[in-house]
Amino acid sequence: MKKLRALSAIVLMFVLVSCSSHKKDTLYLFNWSYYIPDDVLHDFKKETGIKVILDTYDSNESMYAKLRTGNAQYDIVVPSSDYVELLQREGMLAPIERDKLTNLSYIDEDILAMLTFDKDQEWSAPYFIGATGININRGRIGDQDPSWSIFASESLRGRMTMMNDMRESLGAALAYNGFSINSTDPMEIEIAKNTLLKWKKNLLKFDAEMFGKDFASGSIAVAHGYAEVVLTELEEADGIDYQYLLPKEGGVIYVDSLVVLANSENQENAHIFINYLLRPDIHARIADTFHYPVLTEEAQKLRKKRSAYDIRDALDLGYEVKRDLGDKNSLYTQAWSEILKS
Amino acid sequence: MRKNLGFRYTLLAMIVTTTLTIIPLLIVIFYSFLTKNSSGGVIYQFSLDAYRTIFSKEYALVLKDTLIITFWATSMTMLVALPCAYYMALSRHKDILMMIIIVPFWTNFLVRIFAWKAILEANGFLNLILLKLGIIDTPFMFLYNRTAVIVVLAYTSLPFAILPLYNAIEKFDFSLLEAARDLGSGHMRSLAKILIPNIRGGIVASMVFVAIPIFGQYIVPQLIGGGNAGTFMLGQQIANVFFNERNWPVPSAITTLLMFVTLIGFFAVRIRTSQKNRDYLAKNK
Repeated sequence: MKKLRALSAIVLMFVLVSCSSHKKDTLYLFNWSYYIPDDVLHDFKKETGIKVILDTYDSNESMYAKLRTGNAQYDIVVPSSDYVELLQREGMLAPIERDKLTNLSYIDEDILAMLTFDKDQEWSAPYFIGATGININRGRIGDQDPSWSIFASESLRGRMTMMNDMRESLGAALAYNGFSINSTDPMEIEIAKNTLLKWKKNLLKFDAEMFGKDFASGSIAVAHGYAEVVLTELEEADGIDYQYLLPKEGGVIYVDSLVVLANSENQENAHIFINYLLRPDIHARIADTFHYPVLTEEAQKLRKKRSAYDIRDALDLGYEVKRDLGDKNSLYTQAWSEILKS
Repeated sequence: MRKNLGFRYTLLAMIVTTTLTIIPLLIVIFYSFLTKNSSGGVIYQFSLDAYRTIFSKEYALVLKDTLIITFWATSMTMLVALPCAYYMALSRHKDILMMIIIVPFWTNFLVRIFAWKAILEANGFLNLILLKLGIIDTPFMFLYNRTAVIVVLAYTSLPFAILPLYNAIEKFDFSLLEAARDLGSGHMRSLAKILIPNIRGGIVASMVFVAIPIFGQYIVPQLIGGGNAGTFMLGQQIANVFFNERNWPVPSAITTLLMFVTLIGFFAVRIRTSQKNRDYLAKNK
């Protein structure tokens, strides 16, 4: 009898857990790690009564794999531009109701015009936009020409890293050779691959996780990657003469966008949350916490810290937004695994 | 009448193993024979493309590097583990020694890897000591190469080798060694001729415990290898194909193939052992 009771308790627990997982006033957010401050979620709850439960990922690829494989029920995800296209093509997104996103009007026209992967914001609203560049320790290596060719300089051998990210590193090599970072021409990708193989000899490693810490500790002086990653680490380290270079040959722009998933049961609240994140004061607060460039004039006035660069500078240099390549993606994976192996 | 309750008691465990191990493995085998969908997932259409892809020179090269790393890391682990286990079995402070080996493994796996990074870095402890001692005059980069990967892999698998070895050595009858020495055999020779053959089961077990997880490693080569030549292992290839290429059948095919190779190896060993046992029994009738 006792055993039976224990068993029924376990069963009951399972039932309860599965029932309680979806409440009306709870939102499930699946975001990049270190991409939203806890106090913003806290204040949102205070203001609206909606609780946001956060789960994080470290790459678009792993986020997508989780959405494809698991039964994870999320309301809002923050994919980069190419993954917005992919999710939309796969019918995994709910359309954005623009009239509910009143704060979208703060975002500058020229920035909205950049979002060619989703004109008129039918499926996504921009969260933050960044341009991948080169972090340099000027105190160690002096002034440098803003160019991807820095990775070809043998004098810096062993003190440089590039990202362990297929699209970012091949994108840099493509831009260096004057090609589009979204190229689907096998010849161009072959040339970019050979450039990267040449650069690899001078690199300490390919790394997309640790370069911020390594840069702050002084073990590397040149790091291909996002400025915000390095700036976050530099908060605790001083004495580093830091500079962020946007190479003159252009490069990769990533647009991390807020999307609502098609199977979300809370689309109404999801829109309220997205609108909240777009509000200039909140936008400025998040940008200040993580050192991002802001998307609105209004937020620029409110922010307290300066970002390492302005996104418009990148646009002037011919930076391009990362797009989804569909079937041609395998050209990149082929080249990338060859680079990692040799 | 004694009722056999074994079945009832193991029922829960059986359900867990079936649902959590066997069914997912069957799904993996099933997926390996399907057509890939470039947006992730699979198209439900029979195809051998995945197997055609993995029987290529590209995969042979990855396999070669993986095997080399596994071989050296396993050998290194065994070389360190054997004397440790021997000493432990003979020591009067077995419990304390056992604790010393187990306690570090309560620390998170990743934290231990980062600790190794702090040791091997250009401005890490090892360089600091070598510089102080005047052995080198410029810091040497110990990280991000094959040797570093092998060393860290060996470190992480050490307890898995020591424990079975310790078990085997503890059961060993040490008077046999005395007898060997009484009969004029040297110390080393009696170890090699008497101890090692007697603890062979333990050696094989710990080699299996060490080599198989190392073979499938992903995180150590990823963090310690830094994508440099000779550090790229099969686990990383699987992740690369699965995440970047969004190809599901190929990783499934690799897994299926490895599973069958392991199973064949397992049964080969079993058949040989039971054959030997039979021979032994026949001889000693």
